[in-house]
Amino acid sequence: MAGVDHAPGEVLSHVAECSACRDDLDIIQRTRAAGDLLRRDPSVSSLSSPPPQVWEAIQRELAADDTVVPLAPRRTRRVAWAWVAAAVVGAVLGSAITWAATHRSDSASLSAATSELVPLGQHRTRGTISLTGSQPGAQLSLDVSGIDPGPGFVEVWLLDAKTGGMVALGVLDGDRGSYAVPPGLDLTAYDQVDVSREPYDGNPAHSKVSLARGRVP
Amino acid sequence: MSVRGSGGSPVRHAAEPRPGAEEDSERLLANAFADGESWALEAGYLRWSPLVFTLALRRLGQHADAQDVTQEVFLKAWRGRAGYDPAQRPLPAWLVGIARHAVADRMSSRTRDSRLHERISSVHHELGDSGPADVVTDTLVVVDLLARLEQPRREIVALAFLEGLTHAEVCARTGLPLGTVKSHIRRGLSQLRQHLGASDATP
Repeated sequence: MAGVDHAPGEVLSHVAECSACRDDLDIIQRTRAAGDLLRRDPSVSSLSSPPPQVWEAIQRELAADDTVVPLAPRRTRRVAWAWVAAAVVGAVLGSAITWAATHRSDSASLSAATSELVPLGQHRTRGTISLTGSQPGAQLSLDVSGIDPGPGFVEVWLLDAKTGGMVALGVLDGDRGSYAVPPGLDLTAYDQVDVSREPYDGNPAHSKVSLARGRVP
Repeated sequence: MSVRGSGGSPVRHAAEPRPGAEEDSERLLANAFADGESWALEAGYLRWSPLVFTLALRRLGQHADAQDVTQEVFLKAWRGRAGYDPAQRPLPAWLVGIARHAVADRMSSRTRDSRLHERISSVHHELGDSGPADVVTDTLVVVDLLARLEQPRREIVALAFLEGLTHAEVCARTGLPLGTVKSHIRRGLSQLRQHLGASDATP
């Protein structure tokens, strides 16, 4: 076999006796061919960056995606697919309502009140808050766009502005989320929704980095 | 000391040196990408768009086509990230796999466009789908990997795999002990395998 005698001896003897590593021989030969090409044409070793409009086009395409298919991460894939299905039906009803309908049997909950989620400070996160049903058993849904990027994750809270009390509803994955309001919670006191960015630091308290806020509808 | 595993097969692979900081950060990025964290798309683009763009440009020869392929690769990767398993492949290997296919598709459609080349078209299509990985792409992948390796592994890998020096020759060139050279070569080969992937790897 061409190239075999040039490969490091130790690696070769390993390959010879280890059937699981037979592919390594292929890798060694391909790397040698790469070395040969680099000697013939050193210009191959320089990489060039695409012009900025490529990244801009990617962002435009993905922004268009957002209105059709939510970019939910795969650990919530089942939820994401429910949303895709909901989005198809929801062209008429509104997807938040459809979501509620697929999870609740009483048709009375098909009326959702909505309010606006407004970015705070320098942030760009914005969206719509929907409330279906009433306490006990109310369901809060968020439909968010322009989530400010950053490490960690995004969490949704209910806030009592008078006492400073906060209740964590859950993680916002992708652009949409639906949360059961704790049955005993008084929504006339906890009347604000807060969306925050949380670091993976094991601290369950609010990070004090609020991206957006809005009133419970 | 017995090295016989419970399954009856002896342990042949020596322990590999601890992954470097660069590998840790790549793994973090790959996991975040798979989990759909949008900052990971931006970070992944910054890090690997030159690799994807340059390989498309080298293979296709036209700036506009290479830009289209780069855009297509990152969109496909992001939209299809549910099918990406970071434990199976490094993120750049997955991106390059998608890029190989995007380039092959474009080459075969170019050939299809020309009636004079109908017969070549079918041959090209077969090559694009199942032929050996092309040397230019492999070379760019190796260059990109080498640039991100820390010393002394970068030099050891280049000497052993690109120039084909023996262990003894690498020791003489670098002045490093045999044990160190061996472990870097072993780890370097593993990284080459991960990044080059199988010749006919599908995304």
